[in-house]
Amino acid sequence: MSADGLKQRCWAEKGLWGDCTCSQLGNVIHCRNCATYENAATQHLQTNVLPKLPAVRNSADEFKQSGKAYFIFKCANLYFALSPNYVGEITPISEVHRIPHRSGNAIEGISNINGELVLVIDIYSTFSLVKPETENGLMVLCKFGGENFAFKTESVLGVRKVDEAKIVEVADVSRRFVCESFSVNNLKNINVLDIELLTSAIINRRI
Amino acid sequence: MKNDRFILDLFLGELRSNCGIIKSAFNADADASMFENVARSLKSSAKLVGFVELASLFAFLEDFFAQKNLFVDCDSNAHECVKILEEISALAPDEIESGIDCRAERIMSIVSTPLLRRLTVDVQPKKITDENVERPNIDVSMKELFVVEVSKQIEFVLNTLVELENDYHSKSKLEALMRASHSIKGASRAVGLDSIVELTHQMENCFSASLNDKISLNENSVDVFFKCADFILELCKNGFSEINVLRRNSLLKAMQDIENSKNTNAVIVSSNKKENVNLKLATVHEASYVRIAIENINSIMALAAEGLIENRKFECFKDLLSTIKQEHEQISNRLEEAINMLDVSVVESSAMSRIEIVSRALREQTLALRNTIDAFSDYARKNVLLSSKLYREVLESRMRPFSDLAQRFPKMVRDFSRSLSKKISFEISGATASIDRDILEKLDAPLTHILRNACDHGIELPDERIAKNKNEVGKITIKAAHSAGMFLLTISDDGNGIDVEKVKAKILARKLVPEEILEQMQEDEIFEFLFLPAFTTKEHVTEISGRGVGLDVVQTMLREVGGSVSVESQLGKGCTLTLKLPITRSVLKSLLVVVDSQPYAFALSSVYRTLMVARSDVKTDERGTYFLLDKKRINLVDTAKILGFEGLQGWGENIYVVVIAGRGKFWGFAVESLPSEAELVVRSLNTSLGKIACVSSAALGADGLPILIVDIDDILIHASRLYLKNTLAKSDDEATTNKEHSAKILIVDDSATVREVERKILENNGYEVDTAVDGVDGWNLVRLSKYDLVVSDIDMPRMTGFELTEKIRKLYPNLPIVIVSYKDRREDEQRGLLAGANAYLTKKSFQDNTFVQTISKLI
Repeated sequence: MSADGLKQRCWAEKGLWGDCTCSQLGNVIHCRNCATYENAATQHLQTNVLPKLPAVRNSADEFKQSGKAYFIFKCANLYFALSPNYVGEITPISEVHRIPHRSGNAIEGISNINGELVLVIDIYSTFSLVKPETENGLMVLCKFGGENFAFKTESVLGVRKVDEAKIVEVADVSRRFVCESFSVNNLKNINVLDIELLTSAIINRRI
Repeated sequence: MKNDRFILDLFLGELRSNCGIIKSAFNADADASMFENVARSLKSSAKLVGFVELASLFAFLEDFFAQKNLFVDCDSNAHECVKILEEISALAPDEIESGIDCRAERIMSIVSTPLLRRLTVDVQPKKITDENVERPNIDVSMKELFVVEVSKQIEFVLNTLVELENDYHSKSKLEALMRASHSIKGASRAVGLDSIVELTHQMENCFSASLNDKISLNENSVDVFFKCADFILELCKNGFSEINVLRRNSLLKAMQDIENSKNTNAVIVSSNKKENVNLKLATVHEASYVRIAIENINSIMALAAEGLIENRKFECFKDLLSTIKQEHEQISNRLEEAINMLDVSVVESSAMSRIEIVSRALREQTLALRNTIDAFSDYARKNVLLSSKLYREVLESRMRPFSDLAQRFPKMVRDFSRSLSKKISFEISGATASIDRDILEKLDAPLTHILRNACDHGIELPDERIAKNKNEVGKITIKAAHSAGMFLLTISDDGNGIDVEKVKAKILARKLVPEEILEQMQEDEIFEFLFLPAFTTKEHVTEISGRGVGLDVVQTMLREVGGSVSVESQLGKGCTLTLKLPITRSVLKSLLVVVDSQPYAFALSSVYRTLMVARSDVKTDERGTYFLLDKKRINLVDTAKILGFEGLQGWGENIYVVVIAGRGKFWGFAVESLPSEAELVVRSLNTSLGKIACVSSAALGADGLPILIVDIDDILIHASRLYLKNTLAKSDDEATTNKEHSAKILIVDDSATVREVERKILENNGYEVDTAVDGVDGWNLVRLSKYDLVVSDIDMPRMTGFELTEKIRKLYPNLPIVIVSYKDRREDEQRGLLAGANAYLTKKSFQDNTFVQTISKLI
């Protein structure tokens, strides 16, 4: 492996995407067969995905702290949280089929996630948020009350432990579907979703 | 309180669902407080519907369970309570009142007995034998297997006994019966059920004695064996939890008498003269079985279907690789051409050789790629084949032969014919035809009703038949077959047939249709009235039939599974009912269409035609938009609009239409694409969504995308409404509804009966009502919707009425809350008012106007 090669992205300069002057080409025929290229790819995949976000990455020390754990994610300009007990899986976004006479408000539709038809809840519509223009986000698959459901999010910030003293109960009726709120580091007003109320609203056709 | 059928149904439903829960209370580790709540809730409901004796019974059970966490197995009164509840649960709604009256004495003897003072007892229940009742203690790990095995054997005994009646000396039948009794004996011995060992041993002795010509069996002796087999079958159904010792002993004695030939009423019957019940069931190859939960099968099926979809994607990869291979070949050829164009004299030889090396390497790579693609293609094909096989096998696992259900019918018809003093021959053919197990299970009740009707209304008494120059033995046949992808079941009898005039008279008496319209109806249209609830032409109700319930059950079941029924009859000659059912509901032959850019499926069996209609052929009149097909008017509707989407912006030049017949008309549903056929594995939708308008279920397409399956009945209703709405659009827009906004009340109670009674009272007084099933549900609804008043019970699971009141009070200080409970103690009232309730009423207030008056004062 050539350290220089890693630094300089040799495949774009001397390799097939460059001027093809690399001495290795005769042996490897194509850059993708070269160890330099392979190692560069591996290193790239192992770098931290979200380096610019506030420190919500879990460290070993954080796990030892006491507090309540929350799964934190972001939709538009709001942060939301959910008990990690409800969260199952995070998958790429899959196509959602609208449901006649139900899709439009909090219900987006149903989607095939791992072979199962899962109800997709529209967090954006529920909280009147602006939807992103492109669907490059993720789908969070959850389970509550024996049923699976999912929702789209732009990014997932991970699981975080929060000091219980910092968790504030939300009694404001206007903030429907939010039962608690907390701040962590420089993230203010993270809204804890009231899953019980949200699913009750769906079952009772209030949304 | 006079109870309507609906309230009785509700109460019965509540009783049935809670009966099983109460039965499980007699376990050492059961939490008595939960059962106390259930008993209390049922007591409320029973009081409300006026079943005072039953309410006393529940009060007794409530006290019994109130002695918390102490287990007493020997409380036979409590067990007797549960038995009475089970008996009442098995009654029809209109039989409950008389059923309770019959049992009033038993109930009063229980409730008047002081409750046993509880002592500290062992945690493990002991085997207790009463004088009349034995409660065996079978090892839990063996019990299920034992019950399954004995059930199977005893069903076999019952069927073989029916066949034995054709020939009491049949050695093969006697041997088979002997073996079956011996098996049951062995199994009983293995689990330590000595009383059953003795019984089956005696049965075995009788068969053995007959086999060795020591005794001759006859009608009466076979009757005893039937009773014995029925007794064991009942024990299987109740899991051998209780054995009636008296009954067992009398059966044992009867069989001992048979063995000792003390059966003095014996008449040796020759082989084939009298009533015979021929069971022509094809022998199904005996396979070994495992028990598996339906949920597991459904999961496996979903995974198999998903696996098939994923494996089909290999084809795409293979095509992609083939494209890459072709490009490789093209590059290789171009390189060859370029090399050939080179002037060898000016090119350095080392460079030339390098070029040739590269060219050769490229050719080798292309060859390697081709070989890999071939191998991959082979692998993909095998995978798809395996997945398809797996998928078909899993589908097959849901199928059961019709004989699984049919095998009990010969005995049933035999019993009916005996009780009616009729002679009936019964035949089944096509018993190996397979059908989905879910549908087969649902066929049980309807077929029982149809056979009851055939025996009771259909087949005449022997003397009547002879007088009509018919064979004195009546005939009932069932034929099962697959036809055009459906399961066809034909039940025929050669009895009375249906008297059309009597049916017409009943229709007029019930004022269902005006006479002038009735006169124009065809016979098959008149017969459809027979399927209405409580429609009967019988003057008297017998134990067997005549209430008008049976055919209604048939119709309901068929509608549920997507089937149909037709009736043919000739007065004096007989009647034939033909049931058409889907073979499986798991797989649906469907028509795929695109609506609002998303895929939907119509059941192929309901599609009349698909076609493309030119815009010029579309007409409009005062009734709406339509086109003509074979001179029939086809009402044209936009499917997207019916489904609540924006819909087509005007009709295009050519319109793709799916034509469906329903509600007396033909409907053309306009869709966006040319329809195609597909077989879809039906999946249910998330239960939180409840019933979705126009959608029955869902499936996954070959590309993995969800497809919604259209509910045909529902979409026809919506189509009618939309069509009518469009026709009346102008008048609808002009009309304004000035309906006064009614006050909205939330009822929170865990008893379905109480909720319904309260709802009816309030709706009759002009209020709009929502209901919640417990405190948490009530709390959620209060936060989701605006209510003018809340009515709440006290004792509810998850959150009590007091807790709910306190929570509501914090959020909505001014919302009126009324607590309604059977608790009439002063301290409960004080606690309720302290929690924040505006009023505290007892459930007696339903009987006078207190309830309504209180609410109207508070709103």
